Amino acid sequence: MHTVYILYIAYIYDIRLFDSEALMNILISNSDGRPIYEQITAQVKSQILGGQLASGDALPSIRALARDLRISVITTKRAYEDLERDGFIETIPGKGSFVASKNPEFLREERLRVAEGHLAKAVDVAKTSGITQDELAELLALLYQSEG
Amino acid sequence: MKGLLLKEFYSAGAYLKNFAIMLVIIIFFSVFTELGTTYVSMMMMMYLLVISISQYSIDEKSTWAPFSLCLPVKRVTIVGARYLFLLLLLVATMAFTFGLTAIVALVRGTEGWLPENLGILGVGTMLFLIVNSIIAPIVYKLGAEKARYAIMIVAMIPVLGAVLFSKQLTALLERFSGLNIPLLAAVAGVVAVAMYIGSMFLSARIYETREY
Amino acid sequence: MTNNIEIKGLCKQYPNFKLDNVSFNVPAGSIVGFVGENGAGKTTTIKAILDVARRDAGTITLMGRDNITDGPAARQDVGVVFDEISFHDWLRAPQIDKILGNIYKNWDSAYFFQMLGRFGLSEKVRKGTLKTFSRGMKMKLSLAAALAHHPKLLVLDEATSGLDPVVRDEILDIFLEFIGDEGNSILFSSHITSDIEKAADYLVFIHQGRIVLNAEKDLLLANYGMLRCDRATWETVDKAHVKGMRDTGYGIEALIDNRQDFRPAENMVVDKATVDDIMLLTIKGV
Repeated sequence: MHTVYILYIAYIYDIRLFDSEALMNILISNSDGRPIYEQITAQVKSQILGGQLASGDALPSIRALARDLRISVITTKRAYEDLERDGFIETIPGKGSFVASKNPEFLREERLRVAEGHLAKAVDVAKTSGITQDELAELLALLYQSEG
Repeated sequence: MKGLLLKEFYSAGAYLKNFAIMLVIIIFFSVFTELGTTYVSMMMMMYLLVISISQYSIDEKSTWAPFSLCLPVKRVTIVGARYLFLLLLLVATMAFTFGLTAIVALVRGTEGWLPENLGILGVGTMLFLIVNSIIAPIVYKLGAEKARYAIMIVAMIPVLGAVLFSKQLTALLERFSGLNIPLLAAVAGVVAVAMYIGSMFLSARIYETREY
Repeated sequence: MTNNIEIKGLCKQYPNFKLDNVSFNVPAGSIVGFVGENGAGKTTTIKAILDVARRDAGTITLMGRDNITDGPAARQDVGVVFDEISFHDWLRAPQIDKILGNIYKNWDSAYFFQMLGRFGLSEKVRKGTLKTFSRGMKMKLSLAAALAHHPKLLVLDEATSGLDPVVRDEILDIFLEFIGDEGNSILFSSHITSDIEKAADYLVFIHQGRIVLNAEKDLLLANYGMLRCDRATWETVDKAHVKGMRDTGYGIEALIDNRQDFRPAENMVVDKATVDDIMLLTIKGV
């Protein structure tokens, strides 16, 4: 009876009873040439898309994350802003940041669309400068190899 | 102010302990010789001067001096605390000396010790106030190290004079016994205190622009 | 975005040196690393901020208060640590507690001793005077004293010099914890650039009395790079993004500010630049 009452209260006040903070894996590499905020967003995005982070999972606050990783708060803030801009997380004032409530499939499709947009631009440039499709494909292969 | 005063007492630490011991020794020493209260008074005043100057130099040797300027206090308060500390020390010492020599005199049954003791201790007090009024601004201006030697000389003059001429001083005092001693003493006292307070404001003014 | 320190046009003249129009801010919630060679003006600037030395011109505000006219009130919320411990050797921690407790309105005795305990100093505190403390212990005590009145601003001047990496790491942890409250800031000057690389949000670089660089540290480290090539190849490099260079005797070493976009040609290598690199080559100039 008591349990039912608690669950009812939780439901009314939207208290997340069984939320543990998301177990994110963030590894910042010194040998990675990209800015730290990019490394963070890339890893968080892939964990969301891969399902290790589920919709509604709570993310640590930007200050807590900065402290744990021993990096600048400005960087974690920038990472979270980028993640929010790209639709992966949502920040609720006063509550914190949570993995967005869209399913990974949907997110992946959105990402594909963004990549497509960039590729379209590259194709544009190539066509207008006499660069062949093969040359472009070669560049693509190179880029996939070089980036961390 | 309270915090700064506490700091003065804590940092004077070992000096104060030695001073207290020395004071007791000197008093008993003077009991068994004919040196009397004058000797005690002057020795004590010299040691007080040493403490006074040391307070400045130890502050500058540790980085307390610049650090104290970072505290949420006005510079005039810092200076005031130093002056107040020395004044309290002076009064406590004089009272203690008076008490001890009074006991000795009573035990011995010495005649007429009261006016003599009061007179000498009074003169000592005033001398200390006056000498300190002069040297403190010098120290605040030049810093303890540079001022040290000049001050030692300046401070020694009245002390030596009083010790060397203590007989003459006592005789002088007796000659003045016809005059209105209490009034003279009161006026001199007021002058000394006024100088001390004036000196404090001067030092505070000097300290306002001191940099580390 | 409020600033815990705002410095505008700070000027101070000495016989052989001057601070020339120094301006920068320390925003709330941030750690500002203040770097520069010895004699560049770090300590002079910090002294001007704390009014240990009076500025000739310019304005400095601490949490919105003028640092001169409102100095004492402003400094209630400031904790200071210098490179040498500021308390006399023969003082004891409980005495320091009483002294500062009667000076700062918000002094928290329990927190002071708790911090000392956390630093592993409880035994020392019980037994002895500061004379028995090692340099690292003295620094930790100074830091505890600076934090014990719950300040909003922490100012440290070369406070970690001469400390071993373990102690410095512990101190860094304390910094990060302090910044957890987004109303708090830290300004710390250091010539140990690895500390700055780890801790700072912003980097302010002073050289010969002038601010030469003021940027977000992570952006700086992300965008700056070290280009190395031979002299012939150097001629072909577009100098627009070169911030400084030197001839090593075996080739050219240059600081570029567009590492992320830079596509190195043949015979060139581009690496990350450390804070040291940035400092040294910025001074050398182009």
